[in-house]
Amino acid sequence: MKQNKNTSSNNSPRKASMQTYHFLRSLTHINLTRPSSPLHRRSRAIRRAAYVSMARAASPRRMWTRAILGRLQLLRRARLLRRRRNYKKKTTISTPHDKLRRLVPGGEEMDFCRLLEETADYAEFLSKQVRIMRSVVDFMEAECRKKEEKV
Amino acid sequence: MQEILQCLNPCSSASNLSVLERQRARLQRQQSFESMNEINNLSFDNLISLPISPQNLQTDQYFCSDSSLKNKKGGSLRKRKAPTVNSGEEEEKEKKMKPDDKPEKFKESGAEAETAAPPLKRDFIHVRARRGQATDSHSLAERVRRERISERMKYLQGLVPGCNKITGKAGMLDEIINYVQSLQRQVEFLSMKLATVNPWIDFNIDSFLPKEVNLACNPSIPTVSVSTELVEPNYFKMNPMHQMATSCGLNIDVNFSDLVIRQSLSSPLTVHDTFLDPSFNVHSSSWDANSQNICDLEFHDQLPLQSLPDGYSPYNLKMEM
Repeated sequence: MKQNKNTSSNNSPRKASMQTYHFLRSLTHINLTRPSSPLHRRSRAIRRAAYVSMARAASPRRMWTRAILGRLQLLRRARLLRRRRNYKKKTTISTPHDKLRRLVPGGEEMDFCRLLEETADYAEFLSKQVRIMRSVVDFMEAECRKKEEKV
Repeated sequence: MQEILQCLNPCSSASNLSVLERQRARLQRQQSFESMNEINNLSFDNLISLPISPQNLQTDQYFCSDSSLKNKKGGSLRKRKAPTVNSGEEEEKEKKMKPDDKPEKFKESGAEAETAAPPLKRDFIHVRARRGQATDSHSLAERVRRERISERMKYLQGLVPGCNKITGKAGMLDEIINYVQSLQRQVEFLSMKLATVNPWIDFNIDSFLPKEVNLACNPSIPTVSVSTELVEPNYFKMNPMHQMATSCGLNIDVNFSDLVIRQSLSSPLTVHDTFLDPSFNVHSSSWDANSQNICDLEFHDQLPLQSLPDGYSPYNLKMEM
């Protein structure tokens, strides 16, 4: 059964909570489906979930959101087909902006002006995501500590 | 803006007097407009109107407001071409007031209606040549580009903490790179931490209904599926998440996350196995199973759960419409 979709479409007043919601949901999903997989895989899955929830909460017209979500699709397909793809193009001419281009997803093919804009947006959402994750970790640690105290 | 129009109309010819008048009027305008940070106040002094798209409106407001603060070096004097200008070309590259004038300096041509104060979204960029600077299209474009870049740099400077003292593009760029890198590293580290914390939590999957909800099985699908057959033991597992959300300290709409988590849970969000105590079951039985109501409550009533009056306790919430 699909619940009313207006939950996901009614985004604008609650950008931060949208991000939280997506992330928490992905976390629960990860815990559900792979509770016992090795640590590195789970951590990578969690990291991917973090980026995806960031991209979901941000505007879809941004280059970096599209890059992240597109990368996810490609990754999934690649995993299914067991193929590897190289997403990062090595630019032969190195400019001072190169590093930034590599950092921001989707930043390879943008002019510098646009790159700065995307970087600002990306950094904003990144910092929000970090805050969310930190609070989740804090909460979980507190819970675990409580549990240990009770025992 | 009216004075602009008045100035312009008699000034289509390149008489010296009219130019002086224009310049004087522009000076006055400039002084008055510098105090305003209004994006809608599209005056000639608003050098750059960026192409505005809806999601960029906020940043564009920032950018355009900054551009209005730009002061020209030579005051308000504009460059004049040596021979007096007639007909097609204008002395200053101004906002196109008459559709038949076609200044070549516009980046993109857009048919612009003559309006006194058009707060419209324009899709071309107005450029003004300053005194002592070249007026060919390349250098103008270059200057526009540089100004845009510097605007964005300033915005980033406000975003990245602790780089107020750094001037210059290179240093700022390094700071930005460091900041983004550190954020990404933090995400990585926190995700690893989350991965280590979670296995300590016991999952009580057996207690759930066998025919589970069709939870969207990958995190990227935004649809939320719900099962009204969720047994009540599932509900109390909301609470830890609810608490988590409240303790997050973000501007999270607790109702929202709580609600959504309840809806999406086919498996529990069991953070803590003490929550699996049967004592909690008693409390959870008071939860209303009508998720539609909850949804409405959620979206119409923005009160956080704590503010609900009737002896609210996290485990004893009764959702009523």
